[in-house]
Amino acid sequence: MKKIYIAWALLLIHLCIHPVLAESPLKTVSFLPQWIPQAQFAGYMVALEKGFYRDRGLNLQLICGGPSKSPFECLSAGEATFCTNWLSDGIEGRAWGKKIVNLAQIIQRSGLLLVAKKSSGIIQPNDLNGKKVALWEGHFSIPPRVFFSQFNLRVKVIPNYTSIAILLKDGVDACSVMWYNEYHTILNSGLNPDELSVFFLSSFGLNFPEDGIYCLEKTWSADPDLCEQFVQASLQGWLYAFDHQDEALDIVLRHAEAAHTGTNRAHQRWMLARMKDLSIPEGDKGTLGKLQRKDFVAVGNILKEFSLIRDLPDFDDFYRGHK
Amino acid sequence: MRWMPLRGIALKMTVLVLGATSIIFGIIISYSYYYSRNIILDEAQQHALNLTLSVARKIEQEFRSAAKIAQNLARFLSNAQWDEKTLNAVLKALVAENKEIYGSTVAFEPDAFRKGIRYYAPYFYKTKEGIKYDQLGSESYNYFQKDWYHIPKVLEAPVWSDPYFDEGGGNIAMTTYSFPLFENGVEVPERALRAIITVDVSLEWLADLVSSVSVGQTGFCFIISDTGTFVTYPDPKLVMRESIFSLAEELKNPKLRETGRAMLRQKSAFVDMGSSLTGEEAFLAFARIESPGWSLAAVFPKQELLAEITRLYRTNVLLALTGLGLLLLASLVVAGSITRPLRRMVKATEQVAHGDLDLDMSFVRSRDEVGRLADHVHVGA
Repeated sequence: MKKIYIAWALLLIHLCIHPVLAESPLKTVSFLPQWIPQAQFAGYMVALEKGFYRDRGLNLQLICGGPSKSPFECLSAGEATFCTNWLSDGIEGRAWGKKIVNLAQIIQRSGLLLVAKKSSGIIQPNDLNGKKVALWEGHFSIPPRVFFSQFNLRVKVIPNYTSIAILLKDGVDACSVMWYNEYHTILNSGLNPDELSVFFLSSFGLNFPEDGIYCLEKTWSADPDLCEQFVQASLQGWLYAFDHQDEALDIVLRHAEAAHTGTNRAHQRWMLARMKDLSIPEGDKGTLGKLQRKDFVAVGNILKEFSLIRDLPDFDDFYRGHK
Repeated sequence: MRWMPLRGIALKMTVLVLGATSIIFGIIISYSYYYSRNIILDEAQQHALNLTLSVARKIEQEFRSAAKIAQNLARFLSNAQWDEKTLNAVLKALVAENKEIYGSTVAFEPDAFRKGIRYYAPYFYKTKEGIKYDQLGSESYNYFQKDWYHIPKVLEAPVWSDPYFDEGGGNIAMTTYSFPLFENGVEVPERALRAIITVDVSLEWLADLVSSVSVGQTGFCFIISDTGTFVTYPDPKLVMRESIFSLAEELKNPKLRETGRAMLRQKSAFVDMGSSLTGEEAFLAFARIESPGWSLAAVFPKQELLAEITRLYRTNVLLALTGLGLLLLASLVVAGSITRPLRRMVKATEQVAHGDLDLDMSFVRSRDEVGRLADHVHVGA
């Protein structure tokens, strides 16, 4: 008799821990990463593969991202429940009335940098004066432009649309790249790190943390627990990916292969390692996914300076994740 | 007592002769091995460099002739009177008549074709159903932002694109040559861009050509682009996906990375790769294909290259060992024939020592030093 009571008690405890599992069938949600399948999104792919979403009652449909899909538009159109996007895009969107909320800030330190061949005579920021610099358009170009004005540089900005060929073929003297992506492509095009000058914009007070998780405010209001389960499963996926890199790379490469992105393992390995550096910059796993108020304010103020927004949205309205 | 003689003079002589001969054999065989190995390697190096240079030149000619087509089109558009119809006819003929040219366009700057027209880029390309026509420019395909348009525009110079797979056209590997056409003729300073002329060159012939080059029995050729990307390789999984540098990173092999850098910076060279590329010891020769700035390499496995010389070396060692065996026998026989009478004499002198003075030394018949010694012993007794 006693044994049966204990069994019942255990079962009850179990049901309390996994209420979703016990009660209802899986809830179907969809997720759009803001770019093509690569290790930048390893955490989500791993969480899906390892069943972390299912364990939390979610049936996740992973949408293949790319240049043709705008994350916030896909949210508004109901094509995706969740998406990732840059913090600056999120703040700007919210400031102009898009009812979106940030659920978690994955990247804490900006991976945006300016890179130049030393052979073009660029060693210090001042050497960029009078040089041709290729910048991606949109929010990518804000930190570099602030950087130029900080150093009083007159720079000839050339728009860059896709690849780094423009730098490799010496069409420009410097170029904006992401540390976890194009910088490594440059290295694996045969240039050695000691042949390159690199300016991390985050080390010049221009930390624009990139990827965060977003959803519509109404999604959050209707089912905060759903959002919480999605975020927790995703963070669990990230931590698993950081600790099991080879397994994570197998998963990432399968997704990349299916999307014909033409990448390779060495590149994805680099990207995953850098994602770890940028997502837990102090090495403290407890900070993973938390948006810092100071980062929010810093980015918001620069957007204001550039007249991209009039007023900074309220932090607590904007950010609904763990503080 | 029976083995006494072998431990005596006979043994000493045999050991001495065999030892000296082995050393001499060893020196001769090693010297001839290294000498002929060097001759073979020198020859292989020459052959490898000639091979890669000649294949690279052949490939370059193909690229140059494709580039010529775009340049001629530029000259025509600058100098001749033409209208929309003529342009289309010329482009269509150009694609139809050139086997390697998969597609071609003249993509104009905004308003450069006609005032008020932002995009104008008639594109003719091959399909299974014949030659097709498309207008490339649209809000969803903003060609001003594409590398093939943007980079030659910024550089104000012709550019070969990185190789790519054309997913629309049956997954053919391709590269695009873009030639900027300026307002005031082909090469006039102070110029304003008018259009970018492109020819898409299919790389199928390149893969065929490279795989048809024979590099001995087990060697092979491959090509990397100017960013180190494999354009052709025996393992298709590497093509367009890996660069020689990403491969070096995965294999944790700095030697391979150095070779890749040399391939992009030097005209031609012959390098000992160790086992860094295929896991087997190999030499690599390369030559640059100047026109797109790519590099052609030929890999020569050492095992095959040195197979003959290794066989010769083995035969030599075998012959030497047989020779030494025979020498051992001969040496034992000769030493035995010399020391046998000596042993008898030793016995005879032992008899004398015991008082038996009746000595018969007639068993020593030789007239050499031993014979004379026997005579003296006889007389003495």
